[in-house]
Amino acid sequence: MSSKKNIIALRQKKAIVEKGGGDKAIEKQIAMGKMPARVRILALLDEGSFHEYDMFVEHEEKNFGMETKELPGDGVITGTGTIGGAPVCIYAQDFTVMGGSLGLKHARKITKIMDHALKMKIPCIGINDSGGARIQEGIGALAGYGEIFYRNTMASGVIPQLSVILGPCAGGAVYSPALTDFVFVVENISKMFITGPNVIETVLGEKISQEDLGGARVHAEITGNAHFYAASEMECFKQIKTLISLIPHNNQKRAQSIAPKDPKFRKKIENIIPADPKQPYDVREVILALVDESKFFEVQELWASNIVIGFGRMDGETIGFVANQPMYLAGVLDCDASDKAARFIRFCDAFNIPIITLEDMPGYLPGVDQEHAGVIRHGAKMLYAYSEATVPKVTVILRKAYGGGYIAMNSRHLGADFVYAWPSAEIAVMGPEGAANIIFRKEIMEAEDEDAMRQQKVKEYVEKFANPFVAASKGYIDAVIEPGETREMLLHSLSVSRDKDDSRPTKKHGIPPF
Amino acid sequence: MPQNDRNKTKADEAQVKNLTLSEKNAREKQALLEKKEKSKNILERARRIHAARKAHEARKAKEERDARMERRAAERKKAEEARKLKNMKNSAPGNSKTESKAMPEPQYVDFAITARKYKTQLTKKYMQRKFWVNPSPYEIQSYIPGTIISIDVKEGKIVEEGTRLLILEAMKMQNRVDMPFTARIKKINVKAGERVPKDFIMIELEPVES
Repeated sequence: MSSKKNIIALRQKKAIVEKGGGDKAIEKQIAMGKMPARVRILALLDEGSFHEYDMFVEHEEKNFGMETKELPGDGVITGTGTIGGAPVCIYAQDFTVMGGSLGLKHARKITKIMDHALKMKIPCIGINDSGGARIQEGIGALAGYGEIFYRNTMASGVIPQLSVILGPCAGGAVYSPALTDFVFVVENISKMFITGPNVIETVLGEKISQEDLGGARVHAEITGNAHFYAASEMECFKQIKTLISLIPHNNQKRAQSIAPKDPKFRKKIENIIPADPKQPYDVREVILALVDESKFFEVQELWASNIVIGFGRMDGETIGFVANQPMYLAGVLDCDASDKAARFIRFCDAFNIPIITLEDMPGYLPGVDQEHAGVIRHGAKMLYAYSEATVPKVTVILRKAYGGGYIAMNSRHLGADFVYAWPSAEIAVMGPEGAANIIFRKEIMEAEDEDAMRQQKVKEYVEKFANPFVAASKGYIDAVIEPGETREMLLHSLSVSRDKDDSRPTKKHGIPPF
Repeated sequence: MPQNDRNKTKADEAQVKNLTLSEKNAREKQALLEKKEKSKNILERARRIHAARKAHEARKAKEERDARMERRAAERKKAEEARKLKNMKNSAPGNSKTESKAMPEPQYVDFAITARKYKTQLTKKYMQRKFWVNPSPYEIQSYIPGTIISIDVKEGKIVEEGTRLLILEAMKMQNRVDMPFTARIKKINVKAGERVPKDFIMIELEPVES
């Protein structure tokens, strides 16, 4: 009898916590176009898989009237569950409880589940929807943030960490997502900034809306903070499910493989690329023609579009793709493109995902803005990331490979395992026009008809050097292959390098050009 | 012997005095020359920057004009295509569904990298990039957004190098802005108590002809 009473009491207690900030606050949350925190978790995880912990944690603040305030779950829901059968740790900040503000106990709930994820070696997903630090708790809130950042850093490269921004994420709170591997944003809902529009206006007199300052679009397109951009929360959850299916649980495992399937893309691979090196095309079509089922999951699609990164499967195994995109900015490397590719390469390397590089690029982007933005420092990140990576690395040179860009795009010299070139490849120190202008300067200047002479010299240079055979004769290219053979060659290279064991000198850690 | 000595030392002293005098003169002359040279250099630099800016503005205006023309041409082309499509729809109503589903053809522009021009699309961020402008030494700009606390100079006055021009408060710090070189104050664009954005031209200078 008494045990039944206890059970009823427990159920009542749970029901109170599960209501979060109460019906009114939940209504308000829905009116803002946002889902309540608990609904989000249930929508994201496999049905019936969510198990919650620390429901009855309470804050300990005694100042500013906080002693009488009860905050259900202290504004955050934590637990474990599965996504497509893969185990994950998850936390979701509850905006209906005091604006999802972060106090010490709120943070301790998060750090506890993070510690758990790191110990169990499973991915950790954080759903951020918080007004920021709980000002009443003062330094306690700051301590909480710091403890989260420390764990983000410790877990980096050991377990995948995902941040989902489904509401405001301002001030110190933004640094946890920035430290994690992938950030998801949703149109009209996600807002991220260090100082909000109000502070900016009072201090500096500059007027700007939240959306223009740090909306989803801004982070997906301008800053590169976000990796996935969705129109709705449900679309965002779909993206998370796809990503989780493609990456391993931790750095000692391989990603789950599935039954291999042939590509569905029916356009002939040699017809995708125009012969004229000045004409654009969509390099994603080449990827679609190579991967299983022609399914390619692109990362950071909107930011630095001149380089394409993302995951696809070959022979059922997850592969990371890095490809120059001639459709945007002629596929040049610039600060953003280097940052984007370098971070992705390091993710793939940390989580045992082989990297395939498709190269067609005219070089680094010239310009004062690029030089002053530090294209040297940023460009170096790519060299570092490729050189450092010990996973299988395969490169296919589709068309242009000039100068520093040729070296940067996973060349043999940076430790590529296999480098292939199509017969249309041009591997040279620079474009034929530029090279001819320098090498034959005297002849061109002395000629009666300068333009005719220049044309002739460019033609000579193209015939002699703008091909893959000079590099192949030196052994920098392993094979010149027909475009139609590419998939077969890649499948073979990946299968022979499955057990690749490459070591690096013992060190505490390298010093990449951050 | 001692007499002789004394004479000698006197002569020496005179010589040394003369020498130091002439040396001092020479040094002063040198300094004057250097000063002149410096102001000439600054003047030249200002002129050069002015010309470069004008050229830059002209180039930008031309680019904008070209872009406008291109846009108009594209619009015309689109309208024509739409008309064609409409005609086709009228003649073959069964075909129209697949036609309207086709993706819009992306607009490619010429993009020069070293000696070659590539056909490609530009990204939004690339189009919004800031052009670098050589800062003129004759314009005192705000290096940080903030509030003007006080102004210590007046228009038309010649101000010596190192003199305090104004105080710009930003991020709770009172920053003192000094005169970079001796020149005349041409115009003051700010008032005490006013809030200024970053890179705002607060004071304009003009060279002093000597």
